[in-house]
Amino acid sequence: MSMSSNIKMNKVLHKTFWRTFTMGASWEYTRQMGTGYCYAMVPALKSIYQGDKRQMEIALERHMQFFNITNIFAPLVLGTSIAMEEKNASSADFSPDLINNIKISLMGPLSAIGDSLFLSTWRIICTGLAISLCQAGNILGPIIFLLAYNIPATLIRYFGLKIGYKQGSSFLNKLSDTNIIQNISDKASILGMFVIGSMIPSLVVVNTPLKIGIGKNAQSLTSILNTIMPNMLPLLATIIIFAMLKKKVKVVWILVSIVAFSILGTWLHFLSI
Amino acid sequence: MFLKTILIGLVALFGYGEYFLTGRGMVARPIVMGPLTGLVLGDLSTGIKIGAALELAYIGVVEVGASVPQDMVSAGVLGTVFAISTGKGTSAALAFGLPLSMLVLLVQNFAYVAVCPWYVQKCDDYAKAGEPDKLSRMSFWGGTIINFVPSVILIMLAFYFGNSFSKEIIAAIPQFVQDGLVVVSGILPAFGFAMLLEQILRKEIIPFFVIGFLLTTYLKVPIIGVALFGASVIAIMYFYEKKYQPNMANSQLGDDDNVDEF
Repeated sequence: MSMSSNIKMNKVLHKTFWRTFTMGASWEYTRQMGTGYCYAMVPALKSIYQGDKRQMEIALERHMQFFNITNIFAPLVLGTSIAMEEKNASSADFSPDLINNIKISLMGPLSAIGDSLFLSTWRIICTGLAISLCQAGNILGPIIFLLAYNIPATLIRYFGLKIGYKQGSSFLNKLSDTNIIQNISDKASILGMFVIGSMIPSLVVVNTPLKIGIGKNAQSLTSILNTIMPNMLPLLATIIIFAMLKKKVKVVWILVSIVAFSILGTWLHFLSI
Repeated sequence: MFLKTILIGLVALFGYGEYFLTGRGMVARPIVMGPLTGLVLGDLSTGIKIGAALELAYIGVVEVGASVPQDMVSAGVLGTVFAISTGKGTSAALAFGLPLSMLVLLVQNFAYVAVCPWYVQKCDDYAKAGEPDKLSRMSFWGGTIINFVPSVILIMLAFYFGNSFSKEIIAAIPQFVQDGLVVVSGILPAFGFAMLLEQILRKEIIPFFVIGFLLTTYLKVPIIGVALFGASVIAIMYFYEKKYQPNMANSQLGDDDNVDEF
């Protein structure tokens, strides 16, 4: 690849990078991220198919297809698409179907890590990091939350795009074949288990004013339970709700029953603030 | 009041920037919306505290795949607005925030189902005509305006009209219901964690959950300490897997060696 086309491609990749922040604007139920993906491909397609209107039409339509992925991994896939579009433009025997096939094959496994690692695990770790400052009314809390979440997310975007473009489809093809993705996803869920286990006693609050015994000898139920194991009630609440979810009780009904149970409990004085 | 309504609208718009401006940068979360709303209302520190309480209450709400379970922006902004204006804190934030955000979600879903196909169709047309710039503009502006502006307007209306009634409404709610809502805000994080667990739980990783729980319960290790502890355990697992499964590690290395085909 010549020097000048390298510089030109770098500019295109920068434009693409910025578009990955705004590509979510057009998310909706039918194409999901598809329209936004095409939007993010526009700078590259304009550079690759400059002056070839027919190829441009075909490429735009190709990227308007249904697509969805955890946002931070979109740049990685975009990088491979750009590399493959370049190959498509330069060599006649390249099959353009491969471009969308790669996109589709990456969609599931990458979203699986993205959703469990970033949207769930990493987000709640950042929340855990910032929440006590927030509870004290300190402005550093929300700032730390945003920085802790977004600095790694932005690095993954940036290098994802670069790696996707440089390595092209072959690397990602192998990534989806081997169990690397599964392995990362497993490790992330282990970290998630640690953090959730720690957050339940720190952040779930269930109190009861009930007392056992009479008169001077009355002992509060909470302190009795604490001698068996502290934070038993928060753990119990989580397990009960988890069991309801496993029984496929609808989320709305669980929410309604939590509200009803809490208000009833406060009214009948077996729950307190 | 007028100026404040505009500013609340801008805060909400920034919140929806989660999707059209920040690439899911978590700005829609109550932990961010609370402080910004508090700033507009002249009570930053209450805004931060309410934001934290709502963040915990909604901690399990996460949009994965194609699900939009709850509108975080309106829940955070309006929750904080009414928590501050009534002086009742978290209970008012939930009493107003929950139903109002469900209304906003309804409007949003209507836009998604009924109006969005129109601009997607337009984008398709521009693709067929080979017009990349028009497609770009339609994708960004069509999406932003149709998906989010109606919700922003709803939030501004709820703020403008709700502010004067909110005190009377909250006064009409019996005290035990208000206290009950505070109890709700303590239990809701459990709901969130249960939903997260449902996503990632497998039998063989339950012990890690137990260790996390015990570390904090008995040794009072803060969350971030447990996270670092967890990261170390994962590192140990990784190195031992590498050591005792040489075949797997080698085949992966082999893959890495010949990736450079482009």
